[in-house]
Amino acid sequence: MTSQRMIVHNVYFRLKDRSPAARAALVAACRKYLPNHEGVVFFACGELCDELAREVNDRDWDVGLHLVFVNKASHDVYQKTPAHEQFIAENKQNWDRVRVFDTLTVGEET
Amino acid sequence: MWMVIFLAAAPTLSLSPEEIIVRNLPDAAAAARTLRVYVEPYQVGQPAVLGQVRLQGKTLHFAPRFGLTPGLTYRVEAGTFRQSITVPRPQRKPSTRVQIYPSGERLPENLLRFYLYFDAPMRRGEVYKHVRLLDEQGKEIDIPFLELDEELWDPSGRRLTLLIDPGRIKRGLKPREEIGPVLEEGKSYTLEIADSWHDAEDVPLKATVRKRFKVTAALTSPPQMNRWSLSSPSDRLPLVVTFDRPMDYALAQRLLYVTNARGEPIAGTITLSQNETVWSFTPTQPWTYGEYRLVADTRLEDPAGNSLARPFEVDRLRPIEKKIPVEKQSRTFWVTKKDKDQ
Repeated sequence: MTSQRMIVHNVYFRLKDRSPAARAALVAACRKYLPNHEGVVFFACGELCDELAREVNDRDWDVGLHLVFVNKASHDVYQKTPAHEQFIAENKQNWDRVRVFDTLTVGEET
Repeated sequence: MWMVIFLAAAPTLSLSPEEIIVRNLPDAAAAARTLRVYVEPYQVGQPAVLGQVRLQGKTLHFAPRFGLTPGLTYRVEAGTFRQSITVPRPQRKPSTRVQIYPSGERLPENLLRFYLYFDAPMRRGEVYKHVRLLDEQGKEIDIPFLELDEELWDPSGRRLTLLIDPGRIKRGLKPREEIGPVLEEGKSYTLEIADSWHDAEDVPLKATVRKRFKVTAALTSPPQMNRWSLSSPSDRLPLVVTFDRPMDYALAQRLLYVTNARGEPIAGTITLSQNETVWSFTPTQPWTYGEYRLVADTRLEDPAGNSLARPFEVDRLRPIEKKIPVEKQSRTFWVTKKDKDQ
């Protein structure tokens, strides 16, 4: 058993076309290009949860992407994969704002 | 001599909640080693879906690491076998409802727009197939709405604006002269929203909705803010504003607000009631004693398109007043200690 510091990679997309169809299209693209890479131990994506609207909720986005990598090296490889670049090329025209939040975990047993 | 020919069943794909299942592959054990799954539409170089392959007899089971996504199509390849399968979206019962504004049962002859508020995002395109305006005999009015290629949806896909053809509202324009107005004073009509309309998840509306209304005289003068009555709010009680007429449901929530004496907006909740004649504002934090302002953007309109700045129909024969347009109007009100003690 080894202790690894995982990378939790959260991306929040605000879209130019914020329609349900445009949101669903980006979710489908995330599912197509992003989960299937070495070192990905968790993947999820989806639309803003409309029911959660407390004052503390930042709701200025449309689609969230959540990946956990086993370590930073696998995250770095993922960023340069053709699939990731293809995902950006096909979808960036509808991105109004992209915010990325990366957490380096304190160490998990793997 | 008889010869018996065994026809091998063709390979097939099916789904379980967690897996893609491949049956009848000629050499399932070999196929298990080469099996790849991709999300359609497939492109060369696309990574295969991560997952585990399990061989059970002659049947292959593929379990994706991160589950199957409803609505996506998966392409399965194993040797020369290639086939795709779509994960169906869960079927839910029709539940989406619609509310129609203006909510009153008496609407002016020169009504400019209806709003349809849905409680779930709706499918776009072809909306005019599902909306009808009927006369007193139930006969459909011919093309009452301005049918735009770009339908007027809000970003959430929950609110549609239906514009009545302005060419049939404004006097002196050709469509009105030739076809006549859509609505005529004294007559009754029904706006019908059919349950054939599907929401964004492809489920039809819960029920057909019909709004019946009687048409009154055209509303031609602009609303006047100085004729509105304002209550004296206190503590957490709302500011209640009674308009001089019904106002536009959507604009009254966006273009009318409360500020403190320094002009800083006050956070709170707006409700419209009594057929959009009453606007209430409840502050998030209790009122503090002092001066406040009710501020209206002069683009605020009544349902006939008359704004605070000007009426919808302007008589071109009248001289146009040369003055700088006022973009905001306001009314001052106070929250006093006396109010709290009452």
